Amino acid sequence: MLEWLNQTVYADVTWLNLIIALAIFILALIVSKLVSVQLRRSFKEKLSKEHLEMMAKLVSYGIMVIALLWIMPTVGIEPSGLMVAGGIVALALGFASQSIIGNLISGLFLMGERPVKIGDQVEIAGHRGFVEDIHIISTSIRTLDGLYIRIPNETVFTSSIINYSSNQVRRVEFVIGIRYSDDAEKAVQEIQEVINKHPLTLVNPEPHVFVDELGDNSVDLVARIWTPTSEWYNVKRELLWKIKVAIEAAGIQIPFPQRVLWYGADEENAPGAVESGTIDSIEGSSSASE
Amino acid sequence: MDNKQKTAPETTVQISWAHQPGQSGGGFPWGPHKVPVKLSFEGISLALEKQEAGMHYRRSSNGENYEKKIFAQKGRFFLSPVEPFHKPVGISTHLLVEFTQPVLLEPRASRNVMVTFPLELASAIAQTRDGGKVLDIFSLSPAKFTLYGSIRSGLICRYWKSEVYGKLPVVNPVLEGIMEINVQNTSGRWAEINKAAFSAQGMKIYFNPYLVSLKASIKIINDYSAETSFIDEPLRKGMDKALEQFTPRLIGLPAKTLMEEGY
Repeated sequence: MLEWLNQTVYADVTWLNLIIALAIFILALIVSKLVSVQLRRSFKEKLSKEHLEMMAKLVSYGIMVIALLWIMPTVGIEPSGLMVAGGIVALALGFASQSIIGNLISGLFLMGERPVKIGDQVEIAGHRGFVEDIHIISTSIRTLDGLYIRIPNETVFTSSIINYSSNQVRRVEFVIGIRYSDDAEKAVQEIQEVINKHPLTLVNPEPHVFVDELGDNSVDLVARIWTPTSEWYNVKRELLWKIKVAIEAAGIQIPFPQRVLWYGADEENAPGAVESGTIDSIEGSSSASE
Repeated sequence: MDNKQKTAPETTVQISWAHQPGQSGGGFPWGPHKVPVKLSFEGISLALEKQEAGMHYRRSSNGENYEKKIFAQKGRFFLSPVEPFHKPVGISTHLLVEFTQPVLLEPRASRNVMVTFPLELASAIAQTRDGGKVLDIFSLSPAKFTLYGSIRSGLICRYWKSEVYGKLPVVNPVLEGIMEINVQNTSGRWAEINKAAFSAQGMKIYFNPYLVSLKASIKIINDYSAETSFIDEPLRKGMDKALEQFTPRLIGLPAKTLMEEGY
């Protein structure tokens, strides 16, 4: 009844050989899955997520490679023959799959150089998001709006990478415009107080608040605040409105863009007015604008 | 709930306490307390009340309300000081104490100094004499953080500024603890110490009604480097060990902190 098992399929390979090979392959697949799951569980608290993933993948791929080498003789392929054919195959593969090899090599370099880690917030080739996984061929990113993007490693390797999570701390910068008639020192003090009250603004590096520019419509103050990188977004989100509320409570206003026109009749009051002659208009901002 | 409160007798305590022995009012009643209990101190109200299905925990402070349902028939309520790294959670596992006055120590000398450190409080329920289960962690002193070291690889630390005392100062035991630091200058040069960074790992807090304490050491290695660690000993005899939230099992933090960017 089971005689068909001994029937030759090709060369000396029988159906039984193929079934054994398939069984070994499936078994290896299951074992590699189980081992990688077990490794992830056992080393969860001892290794970083990135190292753990890399180790799990290496062990998993290793098991599969051993299984394939084991299967080869069963399905009529001699591994020693592969070595002879290796050069030719490599050449053929090189031409046929340039991009795959390029991605693979880029992947290996990326794993060595490690410009990004799993979980980092990055911008690669114009895509901004969190690194979900770094595979040997590609890197996957979850964008800030929840999309999945797979970027070939060659693109990752040859692109400029901005890693927002690479450093321990990150700076938030606000530009706050106040009226020319407002007391800038008082405004600086109020802003400094709001910054100091916030728990996630760092004491060191010290926050700086100063008059940065005498703008067309306002005196521009700049606040530069350092926060833990993980809290950058929360601090940015919370602080600006608190600053606005605090300086307005102190009687300081954030002006709208404005342009003051001085007509001939007001020429004597116009800033920078000349002694004689006529002035049709002078454009610009001044403390008299209020 | 109002009806229940009318029928069930409960312990309501408006806590006022002395910060040092000998004063009237006694020390801070950390517990244990029988349930139901209501405690009110430093603008915080805590309550653990019995309900049909179990118990109900409530805390209100500075407009923040926190509640938890507990499915247990018995248990005693108590408070414990804990390591100051939970509010906000997950930011830091290190404490940096900056000294208001630098400490200058001669070569190859050792000296004990005292500084204050921030506290967080844990409400807990316990059925036996074990550590119990933490219901809630809160803080009475606002948290602030700082970076020790470089932007690239420095440590985010919970920041605290303290005076340096030669003897035990009197502080409010629910707001601040006292850390006795053994400063050892193992180098052959004078050492000026302005700050000390400690890992949360191995932070063994002890408490009694008047005092919450820690013992630590700073070993000055050279002009730029020092090593800090905590010592698992109470400052006074008879102090209880506080609940520990950071244990080697939970985090792989080293117990010693190597300060390589100055001290």
